[in-house]
Amino acid sequence: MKVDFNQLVPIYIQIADAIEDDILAGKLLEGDKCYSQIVIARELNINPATAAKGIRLLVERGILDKVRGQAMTVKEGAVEMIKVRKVEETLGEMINAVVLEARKLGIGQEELIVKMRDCCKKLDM
Amino acid sequence: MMEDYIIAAEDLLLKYRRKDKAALNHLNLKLHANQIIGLIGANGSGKTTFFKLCNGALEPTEGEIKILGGNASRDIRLKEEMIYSMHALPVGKSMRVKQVLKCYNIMYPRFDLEFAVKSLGIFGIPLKKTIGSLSQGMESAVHFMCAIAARTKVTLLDEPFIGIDIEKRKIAYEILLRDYMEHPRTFVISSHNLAELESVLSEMVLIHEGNLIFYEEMDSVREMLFRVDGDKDKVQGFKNREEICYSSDGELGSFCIGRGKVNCRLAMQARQEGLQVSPVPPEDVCVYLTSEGKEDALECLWK
Repeated sequence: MKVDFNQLVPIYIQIADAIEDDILAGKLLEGDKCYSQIVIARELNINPATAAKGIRLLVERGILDKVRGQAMTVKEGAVEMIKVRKVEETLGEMINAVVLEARKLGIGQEELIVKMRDCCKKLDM
Repeated sequence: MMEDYIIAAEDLLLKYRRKDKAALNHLNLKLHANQIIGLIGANGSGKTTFFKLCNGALEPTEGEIKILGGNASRDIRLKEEMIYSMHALPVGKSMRVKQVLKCYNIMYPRFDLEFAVKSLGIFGIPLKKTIGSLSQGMESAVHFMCAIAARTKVTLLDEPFIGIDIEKRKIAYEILLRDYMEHPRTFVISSHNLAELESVLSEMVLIHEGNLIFYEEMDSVREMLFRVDGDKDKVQGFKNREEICYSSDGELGSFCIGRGKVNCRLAMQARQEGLQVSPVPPEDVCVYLTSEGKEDALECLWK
């Protein structure tokens, strides 16, 4: 897991996103215990309150769950939920940025779609 | 009540002389327990004055300040529960580091001598050296490590990292964080290096000319302001909105700073109009919230 202190995304959001990435990558499976607040704080050298806030954000997103006084656990169905949200938010924002950049360069809708298709081909999608 | 607020200042006024401007101007501030709190402000903003009022070295002109529910200048029990440390303390220059440790050990009942000795080893500071022969960074490190080892309920650190090189500073931040996790307690740290310290802090106080600007969670500070960049004409349209607290026009483009998250309504509206919106890092938040729009002040130097 890596947080970038120079990046302007708040650290607790970076932590939540990094944990989600580990879940998507299969490093954390549904039903697994999530990294503890102390481990995150110690390894990343950040205040434990910030680490706790990152974990809390994932509880709010419905990705983590506290199982009877035990450590935070990755919920069943977490992978699907992460994907749905990321398609809407992360991918949505990226597409938005691409469209804005294209407009700045005077590239029309058709031309942009062709370029996207070429890119998909190039990356074997 | 004592558990909730570790330090409580009420209507705290301090004037060094009767006719002086107030060094602290009717400050109301209640600090939460078991946090690492950054006390941030420009030179002369009142940070050291605040610390001295906390530990009873100064008496308030008006108002009061309570530490752990008591008064530091009257309550002798507080001397053991609170430490005020800065980069240089008035100890004799001929004193050896070892003797300094012994003094701390006598003064603070929970002082962990073994921890102090080991940590000074990590910093490469020989115990038999005299204080006078240490570099400034080493002297800072001695007092910093002793303040940590004292394990007092309240630890006030006034510019503790002055003169310490970047590598050792990073070690110092790590020791601070780890020891806080092992022994949760309250730290208040003043520093001019907020960019480096911000990941260690959980909360932050910004003061300016003796006035409280804010006391917030660190994560809220990261989301406090947003910046809008773009053409002068377009940015001008935003300048007069009440959320805008700073603006600047240049030949290369204009920008303004607004209150709110990067996804608040005004920021979204700016984005819709093709302007660039970005968050403002905490050290810049301090500058924008305390500057008085003197951006051209330097020009007089080269006229």
